[in-house]
Amino acid sequence: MTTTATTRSNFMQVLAGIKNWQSLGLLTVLILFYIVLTISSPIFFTVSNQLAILQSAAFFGIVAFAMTLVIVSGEIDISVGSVAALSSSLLGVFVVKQGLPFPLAVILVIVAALAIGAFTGFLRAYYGVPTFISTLAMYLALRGLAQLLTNNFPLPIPSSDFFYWGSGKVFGIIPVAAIYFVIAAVIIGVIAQKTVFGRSVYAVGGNAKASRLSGIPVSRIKIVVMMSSALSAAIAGLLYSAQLSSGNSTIAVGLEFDAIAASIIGGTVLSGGKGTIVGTAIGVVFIAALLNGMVLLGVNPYLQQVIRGAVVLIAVLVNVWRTRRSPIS
Amino acid sequence: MSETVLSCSALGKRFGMVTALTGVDFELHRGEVRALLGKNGAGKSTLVNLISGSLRPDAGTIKLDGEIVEWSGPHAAQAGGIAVVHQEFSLVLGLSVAENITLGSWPQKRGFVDKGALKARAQRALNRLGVAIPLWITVGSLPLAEQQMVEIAKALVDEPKVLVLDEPTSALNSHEVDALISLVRRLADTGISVIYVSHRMKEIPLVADTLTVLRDGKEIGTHAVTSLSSDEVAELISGEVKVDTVHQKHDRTSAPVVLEVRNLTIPHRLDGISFSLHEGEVLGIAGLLGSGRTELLESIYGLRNDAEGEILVNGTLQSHRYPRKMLDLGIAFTSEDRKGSGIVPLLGVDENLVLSARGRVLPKMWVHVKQEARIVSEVMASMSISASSARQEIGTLSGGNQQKGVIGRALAAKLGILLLDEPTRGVDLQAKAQIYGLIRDLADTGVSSIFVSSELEEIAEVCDRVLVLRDGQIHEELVGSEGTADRILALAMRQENDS
Repeated sequence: MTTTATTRSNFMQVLAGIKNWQSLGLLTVLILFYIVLTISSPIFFTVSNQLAILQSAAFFGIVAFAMTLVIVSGEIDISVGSVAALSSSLLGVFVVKQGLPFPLAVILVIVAALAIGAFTGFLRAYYGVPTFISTLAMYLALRGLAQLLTNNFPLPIPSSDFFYWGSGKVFGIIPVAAIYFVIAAVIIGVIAQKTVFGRSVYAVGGNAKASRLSGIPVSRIKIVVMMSSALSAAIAGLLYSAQLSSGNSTIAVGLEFDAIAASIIGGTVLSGGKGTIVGTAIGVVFIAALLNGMVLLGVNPYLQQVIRGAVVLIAVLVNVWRTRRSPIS
Repeated sequence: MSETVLSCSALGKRFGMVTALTGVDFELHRGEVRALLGKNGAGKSTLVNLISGSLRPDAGTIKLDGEIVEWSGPHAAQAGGIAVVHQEFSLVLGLSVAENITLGSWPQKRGFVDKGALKARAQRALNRLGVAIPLWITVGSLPLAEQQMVEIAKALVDEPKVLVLDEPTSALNSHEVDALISLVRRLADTGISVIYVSHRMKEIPLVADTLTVLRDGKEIGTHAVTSLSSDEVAELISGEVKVDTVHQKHDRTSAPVVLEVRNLTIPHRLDGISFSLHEGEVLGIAGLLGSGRTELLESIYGLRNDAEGEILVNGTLQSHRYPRKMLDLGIAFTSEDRKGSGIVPLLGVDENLVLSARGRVLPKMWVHVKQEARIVSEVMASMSISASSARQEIGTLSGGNQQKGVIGRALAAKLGILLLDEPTRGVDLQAKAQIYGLIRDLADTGVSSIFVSSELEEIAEVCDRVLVLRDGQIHEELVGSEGTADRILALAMRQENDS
């Protein structure tokens, strides 16, 4: 009887976790959006097109999940696109120019990304440099470094195995990238909800001073969060490289926008302390479907950018409006 | 009786299912100071918010000078003659005194700020208040008590008929409270009517002419202050006969020493402080604001790198101190700044409670849902924290429940030494009593506390031993019944040349 009671209460807790009527509301918007697109375009709701959406969602989705942790901790990471480009370029340089074995090159790329994340996290934790500024600097500097390394030409990496890791299909139909997306969501979701580290990220973002007095290693958590963001960007960069079969310094332009936008649409509060991976996952699918739908409907590419910007603004307004339910302002 | 300025009849307000206020009549006369009393949730804030236009009534009317008013918002009410000074300051610390006083209505001349007019306007408000504060000094550089004066001056800019002061003394020491009280009396003499919301019973007879008690959203009664004893008022507020809880104090000075401070010095703040804390002892640190009380606790907890001297925990010297290490040694610190350094407002009560327990009595890596739920329900029960559920965001609870949550965090982590800085600031009477009881109960189980407070009555009530801090030095040690509030106050305020 006790076990049934506990199972029940666990179940209720899971429900309570999802209940977040914000995720539900968001899901409703997503479904409505899907219905509209399905009616407008015969191709939209086909299996192949949906898998294509997942494929495109995967790369920036992985970054968006880590970005959610960053924003929840009260920070921001503008540099993810440039970290991805640098990672791709470094891979090209290591494999093509230096002739390093492929696995070693990948490890070196990841170490480099972790070092970049640790650096911005360290500046934040010990010198109080806002991550908005440090990652803005990285945004410019790392993209430039990537272009410097490759002379802005793609460095072809001829390997069919490698190509498979980026664009392959499991059972000939499911994109590998979609599997990465799901794995990343589960891993980061579990970290956020089930580990002491993850919950500490919420506490730090909600009130860093109180967290410090309560014995939470605030500096360490900020550094690890920034490292996780850089790591996710590096992984995205490697996947882009695989898809293009080259080390490339021009990839992932605007990645930071999609990742931040997905978090915000998913209900993450920009000032920190609040946000869910489930919400971000919905936000990612929403953005990917929006991009895909606009292409299918033949929307002018310049207008597409206007719409993307508008969608993010509306999402923020909805967030603000929703948190203003208390009677006294 | 002088003329009626404000007259509310049958005011009612509901929030969803909750009735916050029902059938409240409230009349205020010119130059009257009315104390508004009641527990948290009794409807004081709702009434104040209705009168000041932050909320609209569902039922009833508000008349100002005999005319029915329906404010469209707080600004309309302020322009109409009702000004509110909230407990939380609304000052821009980087701006000057004059700019702050006139904030929102800076006089302009061809698009530029008219500095002369601004200065005159601010000076008029300060004159009305009868205090001298330099107009062009940055507000952030003023002491708290003077910031409060600026806040009140700001409310006086529009020459209000009714001034609402919400818990105006919660951040002030007893010296400053006296100054504030005489200031309020002076304003009343000039014909301003004042609604004075406070939890501090002692200042009511000094400041107010009349008092209104609210309980469960209803008006329980309005009386002349002189017609009731403070016990009678307490009964009206709580709705039950007050049982005097005299806490059993003990002399623990023969118990083992758990914490020893040797020659602690902070330049210009503390000067060679030495004392020991014994097992199961509640040690009070009394002293005026600015006497270095907070700095003392912060130094022990490793929050200040300008502190010199030795701290021994259970006989071992701890020279490199930081919060996480002190927690591992069994020491918790609760800040006087509950909102800024205490609660994590967006997290639930449950997660706020286990913040320090995780990695100590709870696993380091994974969140253990069942174990956490058990600890949370134990702590919530033993501290009588009232929330709709353990998951309720702690930021939405009353100040008293938030504070219990912050202390409960130490309890959940099973810590043996509590450093409590103003643990009852801004907390209602009932919650205060519960916090005192809790500290005493913990002491009986061997938990030691250092209790810092500006309210000398509570130090006298709760502490086994009291150290009086003055000019950065410990001047007196009072054990057990020696530590009466009057005695402590006399010692804390004594000037150097008297001693």
